[in-house]
Amino acid sequence: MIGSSADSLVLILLGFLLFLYLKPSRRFNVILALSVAYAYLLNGKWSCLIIGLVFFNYYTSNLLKNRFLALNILALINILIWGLFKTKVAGVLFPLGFSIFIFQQLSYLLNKNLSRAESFSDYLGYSIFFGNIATGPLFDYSEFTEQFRKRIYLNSESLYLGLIIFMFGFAKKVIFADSFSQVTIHLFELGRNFNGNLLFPFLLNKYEIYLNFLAFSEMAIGVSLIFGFRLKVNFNRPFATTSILEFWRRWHITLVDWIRKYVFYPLLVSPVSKVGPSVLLLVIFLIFSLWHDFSLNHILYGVIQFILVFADSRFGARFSVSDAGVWKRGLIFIKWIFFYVVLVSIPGLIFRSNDLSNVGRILSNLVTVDWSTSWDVFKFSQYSGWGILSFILINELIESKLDLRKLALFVRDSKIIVKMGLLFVYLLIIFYFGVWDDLRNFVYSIY
Amino acid sequence: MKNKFVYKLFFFLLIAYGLYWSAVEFIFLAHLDPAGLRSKIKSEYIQAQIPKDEVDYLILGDSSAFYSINPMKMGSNSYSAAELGATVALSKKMFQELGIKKINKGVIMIQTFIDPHYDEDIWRIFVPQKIMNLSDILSTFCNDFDNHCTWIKKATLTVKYLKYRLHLNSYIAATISYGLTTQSRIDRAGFERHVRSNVQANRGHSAAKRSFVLEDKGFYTPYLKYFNQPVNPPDSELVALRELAELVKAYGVELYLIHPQLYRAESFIRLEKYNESYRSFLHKKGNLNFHYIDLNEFNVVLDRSHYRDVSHLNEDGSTRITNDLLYVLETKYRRGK
Repeated sequence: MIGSSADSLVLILLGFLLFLYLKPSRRFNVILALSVAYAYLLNGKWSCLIIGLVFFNYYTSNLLKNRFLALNILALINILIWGLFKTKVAGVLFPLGFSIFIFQQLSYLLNKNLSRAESFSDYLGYSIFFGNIATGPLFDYSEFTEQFRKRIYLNSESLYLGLIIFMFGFAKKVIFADSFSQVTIHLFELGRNFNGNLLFPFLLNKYEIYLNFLAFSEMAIGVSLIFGFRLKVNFNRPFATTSILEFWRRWHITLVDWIRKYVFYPLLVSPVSKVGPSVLLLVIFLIFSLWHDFSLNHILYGVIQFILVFADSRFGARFSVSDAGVWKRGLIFIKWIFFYVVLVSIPGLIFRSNDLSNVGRILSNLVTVDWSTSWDVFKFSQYSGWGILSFILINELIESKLDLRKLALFVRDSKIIVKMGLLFVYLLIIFYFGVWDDLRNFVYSIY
Repeated sequence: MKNKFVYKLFFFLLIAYGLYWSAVEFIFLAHLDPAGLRSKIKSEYIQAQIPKDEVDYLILGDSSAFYSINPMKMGSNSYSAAELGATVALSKKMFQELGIKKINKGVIMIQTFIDPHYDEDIWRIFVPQKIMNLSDILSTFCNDFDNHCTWIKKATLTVKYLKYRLHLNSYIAATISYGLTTQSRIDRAGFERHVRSNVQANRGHSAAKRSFVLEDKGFYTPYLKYFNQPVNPPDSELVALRELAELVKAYGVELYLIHPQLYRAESFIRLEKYNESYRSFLHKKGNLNFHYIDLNEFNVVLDRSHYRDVSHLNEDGSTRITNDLLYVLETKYRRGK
């Protein structure tokens, strides 16, 4: 993942210099070279398999033209290869970012309205684009070709905006997400050196997942924008709601859109739709869960999400609180607590645990172990509970109030001394407040 | 116009990198990195203080040897040249560089062979602190049992070495961060004085005062994971060990490799895989040309009060184990010599 290693940053930096130096008509070659190099950095020899699969898909789909049944079979082959790695039948580690890669292959193969790729290099660039490889956000082939035409021009606004989005994403990863992981690790490694009540790791678990996903998405969006490619936003403050339906509109937006576009809608207009939209919804959530891992936990997670979304769509309106008086605000707050603790955190625990007995053990810890010991968990992290809480508030403030475009324009139009000063302050902040010792990478890309 | 901007950006990046490299090299690594400082003090001690003409016992190895064997209890002319995180290749190089003329009783070594000695310790401390150069890296990782190293492996290691010497790696972030934040938390001058005087007063050994407290933050976990799994050092380490044994034999004495003394009382500490793989690694190339001693076979039993953490003994522990080791050596291995 970009930003998770010095190699990737150096590579991107050198690539960007070359990118700027070359004529707009030749810049796509840099995108291609960076993508191949980055694929190799991520997966070593397995990158050959990935590129081989791109080659296979490109030529086979060109041969098949618009015979969609045949293309569907080709898509199925891709899914089977993915499944082989996912179930570890192949006996090797799952290549980093392989799921994202397969999703993009499928969206190319399953899109009936798409004109096929003109050249292998175009298709390779789309398939392993270094900006989003391993972390998303997902995009369609048409978005790629629309933005990376024959000539790639840059403008200073998107350059600065990309840089700022990347810097914010990077800071969120090393300061916020990694400090959270020092607390949440006790959920899954109980007895590591903390045996007290796990209330805070339990509560912070889902937010940590969010911060990691958000940070990597922002880094991907930022670095892509620097090279002139706009990726879609992947998260839109998913916890700033009390509705699980709304939550799913704000969480991993490009993946949810992908499933809606390539699974839900086609099923809805197919003979399968006779089973009813509810069953289809259940299928969708099962696909979403099993994409992460083939386990009982993930099946359960999918079923729970289906029940929650189904219940919300049927009965949610009855419990909506619209006015914002003092009492109503209090009521909204109570509703939010219920939403976050019961509807988000418990499924979040199931999602991330290795097995169900682990979930039972953690939930029983929450009710049986003395609550006064819950604060002790922060002794094992770089930051106290108040520090962690302030990180949540800062992140929510940044997400809701800060206009990054305005900030980018301000930086662009500032004098060089101001730019250098801001860069220096940024570096000081990330090195001073960041969690660097563990060099812990949240393994987003195993999914 | 465009090219002008590219050149400007290029020179900006070049100057920024120069500033960054100088800051890391001359500020953070030279003055603000406690791990590097500790290694430097120890290296200086080994080079300047260990007598070159004659020693009784010389102790080599990694941190386990550094903390566990007290040369003060082994007569008036024994010294410890053990280094935190040292590989066998590094110990062998140090032994050759010391150039001691006469060794009276033997060379004792404790080597844990754990993963960080072949990764983090090298890249995070020894290479940036210039304790290991490229040829040390190649001899640590490259040679197989036939002393052969492919050019691909050499090239890969060279690139990796350059990456760490040029400070283009992820570990540097931790060093910078540590340097910035510890200034307000640690008395650095006091730390340096303490390490220096401890090493001086104990002839290269560090006497740790504290005892193992199960609940302490990070006290055993960083090490624990390495002892709950098999060891997997490069084959070149065994080559180096055998070469070291030959070098020691040339003095008319023996090399004694002592199995690390590891804390084992808690149920979650399972050392079976570690112990088994340790022994099978040593026997990978036929018979040993050195003595391998597991003190547990001599009923040497330690409890928690003897440990600083899972794999390092404190002052009480090192006194106890040194006395027991000396007894075993003198009665079983060196009787009549």
